[in-house]
This record gives sequence, structure tokens and C-alpha cells, in this order.
Amino acid sequence: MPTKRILLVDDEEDIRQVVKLSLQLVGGWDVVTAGSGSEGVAAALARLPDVILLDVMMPDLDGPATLRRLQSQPATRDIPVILLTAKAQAADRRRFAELGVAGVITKPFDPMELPGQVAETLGWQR
Amino acid sequence: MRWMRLFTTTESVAAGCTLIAIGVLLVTDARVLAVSQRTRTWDQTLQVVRRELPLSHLGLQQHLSGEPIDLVNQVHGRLDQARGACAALRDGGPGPGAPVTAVADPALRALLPGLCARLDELRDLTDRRLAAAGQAETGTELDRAYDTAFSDALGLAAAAKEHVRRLEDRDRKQIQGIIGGQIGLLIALACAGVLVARWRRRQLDRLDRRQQLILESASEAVFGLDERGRVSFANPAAERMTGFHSDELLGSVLHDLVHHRRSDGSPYPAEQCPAMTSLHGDAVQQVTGEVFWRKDGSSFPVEYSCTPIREDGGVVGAVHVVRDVTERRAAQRAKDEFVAVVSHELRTPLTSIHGALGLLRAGVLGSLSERGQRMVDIAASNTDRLVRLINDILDVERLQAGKAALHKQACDAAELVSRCAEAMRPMADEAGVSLVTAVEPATVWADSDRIEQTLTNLISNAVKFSPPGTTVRLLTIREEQAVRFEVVDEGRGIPPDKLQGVFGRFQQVDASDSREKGGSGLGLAICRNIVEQHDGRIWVDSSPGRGATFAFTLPVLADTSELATSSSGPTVLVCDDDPSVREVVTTVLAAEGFRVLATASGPEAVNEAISQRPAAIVLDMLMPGMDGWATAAALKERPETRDTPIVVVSALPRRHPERLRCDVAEWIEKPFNTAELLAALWRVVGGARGAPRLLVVEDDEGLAGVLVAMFERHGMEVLHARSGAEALRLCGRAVPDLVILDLLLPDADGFTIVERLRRIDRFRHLPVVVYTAKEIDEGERERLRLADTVVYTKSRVSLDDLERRVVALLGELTRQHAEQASR
Repeated sequence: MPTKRILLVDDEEDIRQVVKLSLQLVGGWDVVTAGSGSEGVAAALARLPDVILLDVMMPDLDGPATLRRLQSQPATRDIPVILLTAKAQAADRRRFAELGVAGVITKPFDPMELPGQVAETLGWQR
Repeated sequence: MRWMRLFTTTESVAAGCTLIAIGVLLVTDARVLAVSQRTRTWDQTLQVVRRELPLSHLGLQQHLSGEPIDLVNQVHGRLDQARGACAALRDGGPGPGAPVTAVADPALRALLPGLCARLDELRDLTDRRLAAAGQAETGTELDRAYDTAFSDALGLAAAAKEHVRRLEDRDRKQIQGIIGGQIGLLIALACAGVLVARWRRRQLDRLDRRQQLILESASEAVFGLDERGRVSFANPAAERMTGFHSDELLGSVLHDLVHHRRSDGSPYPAEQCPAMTSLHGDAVQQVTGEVFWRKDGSSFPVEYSCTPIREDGGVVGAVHVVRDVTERRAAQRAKDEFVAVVSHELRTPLTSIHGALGLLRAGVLGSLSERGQRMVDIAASNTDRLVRLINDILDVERLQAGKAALHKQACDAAELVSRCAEAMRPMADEAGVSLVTAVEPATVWADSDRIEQTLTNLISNAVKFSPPGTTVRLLTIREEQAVRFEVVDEGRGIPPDKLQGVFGRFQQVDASDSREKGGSGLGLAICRNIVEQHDGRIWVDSSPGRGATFAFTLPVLADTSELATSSSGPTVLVCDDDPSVREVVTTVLAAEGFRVLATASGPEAVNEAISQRPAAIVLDMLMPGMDGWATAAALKERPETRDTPIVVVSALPRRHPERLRCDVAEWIEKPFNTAELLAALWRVVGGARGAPRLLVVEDDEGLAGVLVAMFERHGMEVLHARSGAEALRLCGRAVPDLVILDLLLPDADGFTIVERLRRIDRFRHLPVVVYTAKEIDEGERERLRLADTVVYTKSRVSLDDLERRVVALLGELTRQHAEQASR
């Protein structure tokens, strides 16, 4: 099975590093990162990842706006998106679910369990 | 009112004085009269003695000198009158004019026997002188004796008269003294009355000034209304708040001036206004969530109370106290924003720290020295604690603000407890504590996630404070109106002085607990909030060294058997040998509008199915005696039940190889999810129509999200349109079974949407539920009429009510469709 490629979009450099290490070392996947919504859309178009982990609260282009851009591009429309959010209210989750995302993972997450959560959300065998 | 009170006080003092004065005068008069009457009768009686005695003497002299006189009347009669008068004075009794009181004065009394004796003697001497008058020799002795007696009698009568005069003088002086004293008393009383009245008036004036000051300095607007709702009083705050001058307020109907429209701008009829209705009732009304309108046309949020004023058994007006809550709302918004920002800003760095430490701790980045590992463990566990603390703070905040909407549904209490026990077992095992459960079957109407959070919290506390080798017991006890959940430990217990506070925020029995046991001090406060939001009660029983019992109650779901059998929806037969599963399934289906027949065994299910012809059968597989497979086979053999769809609800997995042995429409795994069971039932009962399709037309994303999630829990297919155009497009794609419509949309109002739908044939019978903040009048209601349009106003119908009503409506529609299909 070819190695999965993950695109992580988050404006926090520290979080990008931690998530990257977690997904690489624990998940064994390729990780591409982007520091803003527009960078994320560009990276998605260029690298066509298997899944996009998208932060919700980012300056300029936030998570939902980035998602709409991804959904408006035929090349990225079908890439599953998992939202990473510090907002964990049930109402927020329902609203995010409506946007057409594959899943929502709440921050702070456990780096040892994060790859498992992603795999479970997407039904990947590990 | 105040002046009336003052007037009344002065009056009553004066009236009291007058009454006392009259009383005193009457008593004095009576005494004066009695005394003067008594002495007058004595005087008159003595007067008779002193008049008749000389006249009798004169008569005797005349007779003896040979003048012809009436001897009987002029001599004897007069003498007898004098004697009678004297006897009356001595003994009391009938006197010459009126009855005479016997003389009580000792000095006077001493004279009277002598006088009487002299008069008697005179009578005797008179008779003897008359008898001797015919004889030649006239008794000089006799004459002398007579003269002596006569002059003695006269002297005694004069002395008596003198005594009476002295008595009169003495009495008069006494009476004058009494009257003088009483007049003095009266004057003193009158003066006291005036002083009291003055003091009272000053007190009232002072009170009046204070009340005036309070009313003037109050930040709340205070309106006095008359019986027709017209302003009769308004304090300065009322003028400031509304922008109307007191001249404009006074005499105007308050509702018409400042309360004529609701917050959404729709008219507010006076007959629905609490201030106006308080003029017709007894109750004090407390109102929140409304707005008042200023003179300049702007509005502001208010809270107000209306207190009717009752006089003589009738309402004569009301007092209306209004508070402007603009600032409080703004503060609440600021607090919400602050909490949201804090939530995000704290979690972001924590995410990095938590993640980095997690990777280090797990050794993914290479192994650490022993001390390094210890330090990383400390940092990681404290990060965990910080994360829990932030989550708990946000939880408390949301629960207390009532923002955490509960998603209540029928839950099996035993199931809740066993799920929590399983989740907490690893923690208990690690602590060397055994976890045992003892549950009684019961169904509660609760948000299962929240109750599990509560139970988990209590179990976690119990395990933390239990020494190794002890037991934590989880119990559910069915009470009359509630189910009691208990978490019982054998730990160190709680001292009596700490029992009260344990459910407060940041409360720890021991200050070192938060450090050693890793709690935030908010867990029990969260539990209390959750339980109270379920209308339950939470408490703790404990004594030091003897463990603690944390208990809470949840209202038990009312007996659903009647509801289950009386519903008009499609009939579903439920067959399960486990009574708690039967109860939960029955409750869930009955709440959804199905008519439910519950059976406990295969043969019973087959018999009921043949006689009742249900629309579907929910069947358990693992039953003693005739199992699910045998029951399904029996049902498929009978022509009456051959086509009845079977939905299996079983602990066996969906892909169980044995499944193929029988022909079932759906297979749901236990523990089942309510939405999954309902969706399966809708699919089999609705036939080709499948689950009900609901279109929610609502531009408020928040509310729409809640509505969508709410109805999806019922297994329905829910579509969401944010605008009128999107609503029409979605209707065109697939006709929904029901539309929930907001009237105020960005591109078109609800009226336009209904008019457009009406023009298209296949939409003409579409049931519409209008859920709006706008007050609808009859004309507007008519414009919204499509087929079965119902209008619910957001301020009067809660989301829970809306959910119940829509579910019931869809149940009824499904039944009608099923009936039509069977014809």
C-alpha cells in the first residue's frame, strides 16, 4: 500500500511541527504543511494529498473559507478534510459537520493517538 | 393617600379627646346631679318640717282661742306632715315631694331621732291640750311642756337645716374640685393629642421626602398606572429611559407609548401585554426578554415587573418597575466573547505543549535519561491537568449560561451505568479498586452524554479516593417518581463541615487534593449543573473514615404503555425478553408517534402479529425458548404476517453468518443508536418513501444547525436551505414530506415562498410548519395556507415543543400514507 500523504494547514508553527512529527513518526505517513488557508489551497492543488487536516481559526482565510475554496476546485473537491479545532461545543461540531467535512478532531489532541483518529475517521486500515 | 393618613391620625386623636371629655362630663354631671338631688330633697323635707310645724302651732292657738278652724287639716294634718317628713329623713322612703334618701351624714343623722321624738311628743301634747281645752282648768304644765317641745323641735329643725347647708357647701366644693381636675386633664389630653399629631405629621413628611428621594434616585423607571393603564406617576428615571417628558407620559396609556411593538418590530397587542393584564388580575408579573421603545423610535431591552394595586377588593391600578438591561446584555456578550477567546488562546499553545510532551514521553523521538523521563512525565501530567481545568471551566460556563442545549431522549438507566462502569474499569483496575454494579430496570428522559459525564466524574472521584483493595459500587434504584443513581465508595469520607460545599466551584475537601488527585475542583459543580438541568437533585452522604455515597436522581419517564398503545401512528410490534430493552424501545417508538405492542417471547409475538397486523416487527434474536430465528420463520410461514418487515435488534453483529437463515429487512446492533433504529423503521414502514424528508428553511446558521441535528436524531433525512431560492431548488430536486419555514429570509420572505409553492401542483399539498419570531395575524395566516400549515411563534413554542409537534405530525402523515397505500 503506498504511503498516505497528509496536508496539514495551521497558522501555528509549533502545532505544525508537533502534528508533523506525530503523523510521520507514529502514523508513518508523508506530511506536507501549510501556514495559511491560501497556502493550503495551493499545496492541495500541487500535491493532491489523501487527506487535509485543516485548522478552523486562522487569520485571513479561516478553515471554513479554505474548505469552500477546496470544494470549489474540481481537483480538490473530493479530498477528505478533517477539521482541527479548539472549539469543541456540540453545536459547533454540528455546524462543521454540515460543511461537508469527513471529521472533526478537537485540540489539544494526543500525538500518540492522532494518527489513529485520522485513520478511524477515514476508514483506513493501519 | 399620605395626607389622608395624616388627616386620619389628627382626627382620631381629637375624636379620642372629645370622647374622653364627653365621658368625663357625663360622669361629672351625673355625680353633680345625684348630689344636688339628694341635698335638695333633704332641704325640701326639712322645709316641710319648718313650714308645717309653726302652721300647726298657729292652728292650735287659733283653735284654743275659739276661732273656728279645720282642726284635722290645720293642726293634726300639718303636724303629721312634719312628722312624716322627719321620719322620711331619718329612715328614707316617701317624702313630701319625692322619695327621700335616708340621711347618711353622721352629724345630721344624730339630730333626726331627737327631732322625730320632739314631733311625736308635740303630737301627743297637742292631743292632750285639745282634750284639756274643754275643761276649766287649763294645764299650765301642759302648755309649758308643749312650748318647750315646740321650740326644741324648731331649734332642731333649724340646726338640721344648717347641717344640710353645710353639706351642700362641702359637696359643691368637692364637685368643683373634680370638675377643675377633669378640665385640667382634658386640656392636657388635648395638648398631648396636638403634639402627637404634629410629631406624626413631621414623621410622615420625613418619610414622604425619603420616598420621593428613593423614587427620584432609582435607576429603574417606576410608573404608576391607573385602572385603564394610563400613567398616573412616573419618576425621573422613567423620563430618562423613555425620552418622554413627564407631561407626555402622564395620562397616556403606557403600552401605547413605549411597548407597542415587539423586538422584531411586529405589533404587540395590548391584550397580550403583561402590564395591561396585571390590571385584571392578582398576580405580580415578572417579564424578561422584551423591549421598550423610546420617543426617538429606538428600542432597548428591558426586564420589568407589574404589581397590581388593590383597594376595596378591586384592582385600581398597577405599579410598573422597568430595568434597562442593555448594559447587562453587553456585559454578557463581552463575557461570552472573552470565554471564546480564552478558550482558543489557551488551547492553541497547550496543543503544542501537549503534543510535544506526548511525543517525548512516548519515546518516539529517542529515549530519555531516567531523570529526563521523570521531568517530562511531570510536565505531561500537569499539561493534562491544565487541559481538564480549561475544559471544566468552559463546561461550567456553558452549563450555567444555559447554552449547553440538552439532547434528551429515552435512556435505559442500567445501560448508562454499565457503559460508564466499562469506561472507568481500566482506571479502577490501575488503582486496585473493584467496580461492581447493581441496577434496577428503569427508563429516564435524559441527555445520555451528559449523564455519562456526571456518572464518570463521580466514579472517577470515588476511585481516586478509594484505597487499593476496596470496592466502588454503582447502583440504580427505582423510586416512585425518579431513578436514584448512587456511587458508593469505601474511602476516607468527607468531614461534616465540608459536605455542604462539595458541589461548589473550586472546592476540594483537602487543599492538597487538586495537586495529588489531579481534579480541577469543578467536577462536582458540573455534575450539579447537569443534574439540575434534568430537574434532578444531587447530594452526598458521608462521614470521615466510612466512605461516601454520591447520589443523584433523574425524573423517571412516565409510564409509556398508555401513550404507546393510544398513538395514532403506524403499529410496531416489539419482541424482546429483556424488560429494560423492551421499555426503552417502546418509549423511543412511542415518543416518535408509533403505536407500540410489546411482547416478551416468540410465541406471544407471533400471536399478537397475527391478530394486530403491525406495520413492522422489532425482534430480538437471543431469546430463551423460541429464539429470534424461529420466531422470524414462524412469522414468514403465516400468510397474515408473511409480508410484515422485521427489524432485528440484537447483540449479534450485523454480519453474523446466521443472519442468512432468516429473511429480515434490517439488522441493528445492540447497544443501538436511537436515530439508527428509527431510520431503519422509517425505511421499512415508509416503504418506497423511506425515512421522512424534512426541509429546514432558516438563515440563522446556529438555529438551523440545531434543528438539523435535532431531527436527524429521529432518523429523518434533513435538508437545509439558507434562502428562499435554495429552498425552492431543494423542493424541486425531491419533494420533502414537511417544510419548517422561517419567515424572515435574506432574499425572499416566507409568504413569497409559500405563494410560489402554491403555483406548482405537486407542492400544493406540502405540509408547512412556520417557525417564526413574527406575530402573525389572521390575514397573514391565510396567505401562508398551503395544505396543513401550522404557525408556531418562537417566543411561545420552545425547540423541544417544536420537536415533539413535528415528530407527531410526521408520524400522523406516515400513517395516512400507509393507509392510502394499503387501499
